[in-house]
Amino acid sequence: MLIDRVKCGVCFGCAAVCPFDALRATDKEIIVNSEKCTNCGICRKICPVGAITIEV
Amino acid sequence: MKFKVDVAIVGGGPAGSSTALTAAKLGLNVLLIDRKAHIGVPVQCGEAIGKTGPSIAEIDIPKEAIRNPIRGFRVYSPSNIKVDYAKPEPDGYIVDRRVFDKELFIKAAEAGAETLINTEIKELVFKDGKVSGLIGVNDNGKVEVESKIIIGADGVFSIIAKMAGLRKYAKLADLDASVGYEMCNVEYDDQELMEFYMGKNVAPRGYVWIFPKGEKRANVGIGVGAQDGARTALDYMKSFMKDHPIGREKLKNAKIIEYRVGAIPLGGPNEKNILDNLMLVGDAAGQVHPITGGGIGYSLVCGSIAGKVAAEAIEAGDTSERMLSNYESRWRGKYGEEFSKMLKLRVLLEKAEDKTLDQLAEILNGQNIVDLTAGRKISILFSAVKKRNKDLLNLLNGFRQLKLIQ
Repeated sequence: MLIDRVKCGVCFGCAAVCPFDALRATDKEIIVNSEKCTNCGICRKICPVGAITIEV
Repeated sequence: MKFKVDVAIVGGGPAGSSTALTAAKLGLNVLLIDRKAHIGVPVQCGEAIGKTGPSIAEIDIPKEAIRNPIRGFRVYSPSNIKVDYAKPEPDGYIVDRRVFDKELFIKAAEAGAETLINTEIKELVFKDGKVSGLIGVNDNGKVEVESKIIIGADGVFSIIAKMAGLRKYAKLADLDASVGYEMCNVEYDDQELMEFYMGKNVAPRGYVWIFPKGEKRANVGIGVGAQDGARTALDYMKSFMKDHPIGREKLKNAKIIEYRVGAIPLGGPNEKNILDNLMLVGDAAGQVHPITGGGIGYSLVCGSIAGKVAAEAIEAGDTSERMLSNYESRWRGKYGEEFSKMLKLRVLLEKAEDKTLDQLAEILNGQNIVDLTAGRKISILFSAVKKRNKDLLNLLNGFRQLKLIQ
């Protein structure tokens, strides 16, 4: 998955729904652990601003 | 930095500050920790609060935070039929959360709580399998906290709840994606009514809100159920401002002062909010209205209960899960039934088609539904409905089963 840093409002919604614990939220940004991420796309569905794209 | 305290609270929002204030007043040694450098910022909220919560919690709404008194709400149905729920006198306020949260935090500090801002908690420390402290970091370096009781008041994405094993990841169905603005130059119908706009094309599984803050300022936002990614909450918000027949008029001259993004927890309370030496409060506990997403009042009340139970536990020298279950039973005694009822109502409303909601609005049109919930006109309502629409009758029967109408 990729996060568009310009669109991202750092609301942590994606980190909250990730079943694989692949997203960590700091105060300023979301950090993706690409080893854990399975590109399942659940995070994309909750993103209020469409900042997430899933690589196929 | 090392601390040894009775109660360490993670999160300085309404839930955490209420807990801290109550516990400090009862003489406990309290440490209130927040990750943010500025308490109350960013605002992720509609900023509405009723008078009941604060009065039960015995916490005054900070005067400086009050923007506008509120008597009730107006709902615009999918085809924009208005339905009002309005009390004769104001029974709540739109507040400024930046000021509200900060003032409450200050009150907790003034009552004796130690405070640590700009401090991120990284770990929950366990000793012999039981929670015993926290490890965090701030500009002074490592922060080590030893505490008899830990309170997780760190919000919808609570890391304390996660690390304690009381919550895993959130289900998509239990969150609404939200975008919100603070705006000026907003037209509203009635400064004392909050406005909601419904409809599958307006905000699928959610609504748009306009909450008047007075002087043509407003908190405007949207919550929508998780989407397949084709249209986002932001897209729906933009089309409300541009294309919605009422919305575009009201926001025609509006200017955006602040932009907020967030997720609204609507799944109801966690199954369990306590462990030995640990309690969860507020959004972290899921103490949020499953339809409106409102949680400030619940946070204040549940925080004050947690503060009192903490004091009783420390006094008794017993901070075990069994002792802290007093917190669970007291807050659930107060709100448990309301939450489960509203969860069921949410399911009913989500299933209802736009057409059904419009027909309901048509029948309610021009009436103040404050009167209706008293049960007086309901038989008339039923006879009016019977011949017209089965779906609507089902919806009303659902309302009746939930004892929302008689």
